[in-house]
Amino acid sequence: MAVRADEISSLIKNQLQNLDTETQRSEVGTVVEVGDGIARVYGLSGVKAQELVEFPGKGPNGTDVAGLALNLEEDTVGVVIMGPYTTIQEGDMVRSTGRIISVPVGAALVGRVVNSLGEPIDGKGEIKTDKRRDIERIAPGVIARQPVDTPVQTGIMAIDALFPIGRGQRELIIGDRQTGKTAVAIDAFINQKGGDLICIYVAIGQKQSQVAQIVATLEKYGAMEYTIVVMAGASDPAPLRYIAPYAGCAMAEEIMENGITLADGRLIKDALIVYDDLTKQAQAYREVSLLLRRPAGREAYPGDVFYLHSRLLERSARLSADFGGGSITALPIIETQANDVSAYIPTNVISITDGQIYLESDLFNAGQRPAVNTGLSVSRVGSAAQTAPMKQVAGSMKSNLNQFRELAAFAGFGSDLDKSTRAQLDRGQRIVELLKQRQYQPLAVEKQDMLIYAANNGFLDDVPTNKIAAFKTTFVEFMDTSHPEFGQSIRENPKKKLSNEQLQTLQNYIKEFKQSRTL
Amino acid sequence: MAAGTAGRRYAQAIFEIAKSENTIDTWGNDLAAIEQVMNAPKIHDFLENPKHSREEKQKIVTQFLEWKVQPVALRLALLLVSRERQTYLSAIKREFDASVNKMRGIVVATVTTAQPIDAPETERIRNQLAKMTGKEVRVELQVNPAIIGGMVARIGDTLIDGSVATRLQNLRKQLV
Repeated sequence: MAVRADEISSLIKNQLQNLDTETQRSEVGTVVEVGDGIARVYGLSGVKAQELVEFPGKGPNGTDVAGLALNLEEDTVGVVIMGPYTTIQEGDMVRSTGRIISVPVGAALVGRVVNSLGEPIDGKGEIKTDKRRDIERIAPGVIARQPVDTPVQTGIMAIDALFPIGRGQRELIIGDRQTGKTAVAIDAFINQKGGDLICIYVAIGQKQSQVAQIVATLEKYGAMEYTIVVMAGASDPAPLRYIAPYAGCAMAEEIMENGITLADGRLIKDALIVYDDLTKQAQAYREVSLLLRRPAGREAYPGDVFYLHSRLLERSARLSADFGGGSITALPIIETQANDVSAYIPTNVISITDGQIYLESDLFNAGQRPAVNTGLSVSRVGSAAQTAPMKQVAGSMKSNLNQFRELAAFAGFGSDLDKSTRAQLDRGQRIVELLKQRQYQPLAVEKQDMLIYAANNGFLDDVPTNKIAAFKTTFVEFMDTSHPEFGQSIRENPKKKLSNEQLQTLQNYIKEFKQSRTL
Repeated sequence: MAAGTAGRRYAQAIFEIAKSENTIDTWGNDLAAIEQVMNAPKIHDFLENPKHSREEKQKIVTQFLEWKVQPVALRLALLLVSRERQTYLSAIKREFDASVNKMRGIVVATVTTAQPIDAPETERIRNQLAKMTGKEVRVELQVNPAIIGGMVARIGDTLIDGSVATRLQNLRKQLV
């Protein structure tokens, strides 16, 4: 980056000489009322809904403060101020810009932490990209889409085996606070290492310290190399929290439509975006709406709070080959209060998404982590988004698990059990145990296939329940060191079922392993 | 802006009367006169004081305005007083003037310069703005040294900014 001094001065000279030619023409208005981050502006008669307006010279060091025109009334315009508003006074001038909010997009953002306006907040310097996208856009239509058929591997067995997520799907992660919702998302990010997905983490209304911790974790596991973090913290003004998901989605759309080229030269067209969490975004929007005096509805949310989320999540898509074949997979997160999924925002988002992963604090406290409730969770895309081997080995797993839960409830009465019931219970317990997984330890899909096959076919029946976790780790190690080619062959043929010979080989390996180690 | 909305309703009614009776100019003068009287500090205080009855207030207003304005305009003043809406008078006048200007195809341009400008120059600006808007332009001049040089014209909600201050600001944005 050597810029010669005479180049700079010639640039300045050029600009100074050309200075006289331009006059600015803009629509203006006058602030009549300001408070709580809302300005009521008289005039601005030509302004459009959602348009970006400016308060010239009102920011720190004489910069402009941005605003968003939301309420267009007969005489006045309700503007939400997206920045410091304590310097804005009655009588100040407001200027319209004729454009809606846009954010920088492209490869320069990967590995960065930015705010809702796309400005860097990680201290790693300027983001060098001249590409921008409007944050609001209508979702791709029917013609542009194709069915979801390629999996997003989260590396979490309870999800990949039971509730597979496909590229272009929207799978809700829902649960009380402290049930590991963010952990699911972070594990899914970590599992994309070396893969072909760009991850975008949108943090809405979270503590700065918490986001810093997440970024540090992603860095530690090498996941920041393919991740963008968009952050609108708890201390940011409500409008910034409100627009953060749209800003993140605009960045994802660039990946889906044009793809971005990573440092190693690969063109990536699939994005995985996590909105953490949309409850906070709805609250920010409620705050803005109430201050703008829009009528309040259920739970004091405004009437268009459904549209707030539906228009965002509809932008997730799997494009057809004619449109480039890219995808946006969305994992919105919703926080419930006391497991109440029938509250307003949870029901809205449940009805918009293609399924939900329901995390429960009771399971979490009982040591079942990730605390996925297999009875209430669902993925409406289903097995279409699974690899063939996974579909083969895990097909019957969900109904087996549900049967086990029913049986376990009966067995709780303490009556004598016949042998087959006893065996079924034992098997179920082992599968439940197998689904437990520690944080930051995503499991590759071929390893999941092998373990599920082992459990479903009785190879774990003689392993004590408390040794299942040890079996899992040592078996994975064993397969990696002794027979790496087997896993590789499964991994490289995701569309091919396991042949009988392969299954036979796998059985032999499992037997070999069990003989060679004592757990 | 409740005053603006209410003011517009009164102004529209007055404008329609004025148009049908062909008394637009008279009304303009009358409104100015009423505003002048009602905004005189002593009268204003008297009208705002809840101790005085409505009848007393109307009597005062009648005394001051009876021979100055046409009878319809006097009735407007009395109506406003009886409804305690005399504070809306300036809004009514503003809206009335706006309606008149709209009908006659006149726009008002506020032109701000750093130093006072002379008549021929004002005329040149006026012609230029008239060409731009396609309407007759009435120029109001303002002097504000803070813009350093050049000119800022404001027509309604449109701002045409050719000031040196803004250009310097833009230059600063480009360079920094």
